[in-house]
Amino acid sequence: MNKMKNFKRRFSLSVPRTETIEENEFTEQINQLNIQRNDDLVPNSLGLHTLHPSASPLASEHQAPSPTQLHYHSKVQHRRFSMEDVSKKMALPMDIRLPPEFLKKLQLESPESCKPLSRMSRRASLSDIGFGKLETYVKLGKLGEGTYATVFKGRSKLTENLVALKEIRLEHEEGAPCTAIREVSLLKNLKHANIVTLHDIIHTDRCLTLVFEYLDSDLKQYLDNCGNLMSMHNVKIFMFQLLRGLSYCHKRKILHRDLKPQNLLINEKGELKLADFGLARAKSVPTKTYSNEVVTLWYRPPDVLLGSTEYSTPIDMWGVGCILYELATGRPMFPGSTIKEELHLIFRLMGTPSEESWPGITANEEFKSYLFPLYKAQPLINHVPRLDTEGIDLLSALLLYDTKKRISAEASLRHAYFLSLGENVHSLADTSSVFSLKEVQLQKDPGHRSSIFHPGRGKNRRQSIF
Amino acid sequence: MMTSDSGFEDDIHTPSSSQQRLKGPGSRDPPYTMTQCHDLYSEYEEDHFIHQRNKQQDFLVLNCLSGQTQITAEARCVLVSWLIDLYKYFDLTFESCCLAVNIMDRFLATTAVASDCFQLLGVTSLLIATKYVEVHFPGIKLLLSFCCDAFTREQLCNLESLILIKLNFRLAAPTIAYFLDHFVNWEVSRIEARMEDNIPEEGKSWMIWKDCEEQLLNFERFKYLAFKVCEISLADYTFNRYQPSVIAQSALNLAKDLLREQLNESTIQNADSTHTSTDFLGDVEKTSQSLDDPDLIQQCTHELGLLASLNKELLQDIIKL
Repeated sequence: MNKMKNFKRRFSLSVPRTETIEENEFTEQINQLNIQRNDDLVPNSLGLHTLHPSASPLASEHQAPSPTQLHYHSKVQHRRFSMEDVSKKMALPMDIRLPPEFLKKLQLESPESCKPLSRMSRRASLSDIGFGKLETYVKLGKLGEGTYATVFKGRSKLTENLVALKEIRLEHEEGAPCTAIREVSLLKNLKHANIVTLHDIIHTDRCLTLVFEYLDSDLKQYLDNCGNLMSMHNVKIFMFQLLRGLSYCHKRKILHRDLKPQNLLINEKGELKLADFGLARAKSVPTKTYSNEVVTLWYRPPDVLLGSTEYSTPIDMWGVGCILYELATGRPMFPGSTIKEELHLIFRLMGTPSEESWPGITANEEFKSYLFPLYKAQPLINHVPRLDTEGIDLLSALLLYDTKKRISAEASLRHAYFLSLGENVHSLADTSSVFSLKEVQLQKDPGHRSSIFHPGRGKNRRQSIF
Repeated sequence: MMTSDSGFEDDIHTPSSSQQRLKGPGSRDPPYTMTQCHDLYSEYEEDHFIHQRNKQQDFLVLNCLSGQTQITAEARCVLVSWLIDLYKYFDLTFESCCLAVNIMDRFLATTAVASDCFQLLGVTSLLIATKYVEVHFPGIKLLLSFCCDAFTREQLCNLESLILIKLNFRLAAPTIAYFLDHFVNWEVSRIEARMEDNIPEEGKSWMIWKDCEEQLLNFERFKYLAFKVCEISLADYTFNRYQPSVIAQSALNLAKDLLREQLNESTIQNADSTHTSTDFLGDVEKTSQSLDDPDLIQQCTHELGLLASLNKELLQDIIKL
């Protein structure tokens, strides 16, 4: 704490509390700077003339350092090392109160002062036809409510298409929720047939509204609708779509971290799309650990259950295995309600891990403290009799304890289990649906109550998605 | 034994405390902190790298200060230097720091900012970056206290929204931190692969293994030096025009040069032991040349060298470590 005080003091100590003096001093400095800039550069002892780009072949392409920049170079040294200087400079603006009309001023100024940014101007033209405007969308009814968002069904007046409107309240103590920031910025980069499309972002005073494409069902609901007895051919098509979307994310080092049937949306064509990226985050800093509360317990891998915070792409793959089991059997694989129960269910079926199946596990304090009985792994085929040999093989590869050996999304797509879908599914463009191929078609689910597959009745189930 | 999902209670309450637990080989502490990197250079690493490299042009802002009337390169330098102190104080990742500077620069390119709001812009950019990158991010109240409470929570939140809208929520900028990590991990995984191939056994020579070990020890210093150079470059407006991958590679090149100089000096003094440890230094160059324009990297390396000589005091300790 002492350290913190010192740190703050550095900047605050030298802050004189009279505004007028500050301003005068500041203007003076600015003026001086301008004078310096206009003056010819005085060569200094640091040999900065070598920075002159005359020798560089790239001088014409890249803006050559101007005299100002050269001069600035020599300044860097002083600035960097004289903390007094730094604090003084920093202190200047601090004491001047931010004018209340600051934000307005900023926005007003921008059109003249900013360079013509193509993105900005395009944005403007889109808004002319209704993008980015709340009045473009008609709210039809509430689909669900979560901790940081409320989701409505809506219709776009522009396209007449149904949309899902995810309203995020921005009035939080800590500003915009980080989940919203992550979800929006990640989804903007993800353009794939098996990932839900973010159509538009609308910002109003107190609210951020994300406009998603509307899908009326999800995998959980689909499974319910066919009486938990899905055609094994359809299971394969859904699994392939899930892995396609996931592989696309993982290649960008984006983890979903909350895979579950409720987060896999499905439309009337049978297209499956990953949704709810609130917990996802671009994995960028390898040594950084995440909080433990990430994946819904049922689809959570044992390494995470045992306190591992080293998250990478294999954490999503365990969940994929659980989903495959659930689609093939019609019931969740490990429906534990506590961490202990969840682990127990896993070990009873997959065998209590040993040093052989999970290197390092016997040294894991968390694991040792549970004192689980030594279960032997049971043959999966006994539990998933409807799954063929290749399917069982894939399932086993997905449910490996050793995260290094667990199969990746990319490798799964090439697994023999999917051979029957043909070769063309591998050369599809990112944004093309698997159903754009004639050979890929859903079959009638044996347990389905009415005709082939009918959408609708999405209201109640959708709550779990968000 | 096949049981239904609900039948687990029968056996969960029979903990076998008497049972012989398998004794593991004990916790084998990795000899270096970077050993984990080997695994991290996973199958997706290359895909991700290419993706990041292609993406960086979209997030590069040239001359972000050209539209500014009150914000100068100097003011930016002071502010970024302060942000660097701040991210260190909060123990945030370098990634957050790089992203904060990128967010700030891109906002400056869209909007003219008054000098009295500049610090608020800096601290708000840092907040957004940490919300995107970190698991835990500093509270607004604390951040504001570091600005001597010159601004209010409302002002910060308003500016946060404004930045997000102006940037259209595009926050996934590739950073110097990422590329530095990538190049270093790639190199370390190579050395480690060599180590694994030469695990000393009885009757086998320890030479190669020890060489690698020494290389890795030197690598820590090499990596840290390159990191420091990158950190300084953030504050300097001159480097604003280089892509992050170019800066990262150039910083590695520069660190290699500086260390090699130092090692050569010490080799002259005591002629043994160090000769092997520079072997790895050539490889970085090989990697980098296949990626970006070598002329551009050379130019950037040269300019980083100047910057490093301006900040000699800061780097000297690392070089001589």
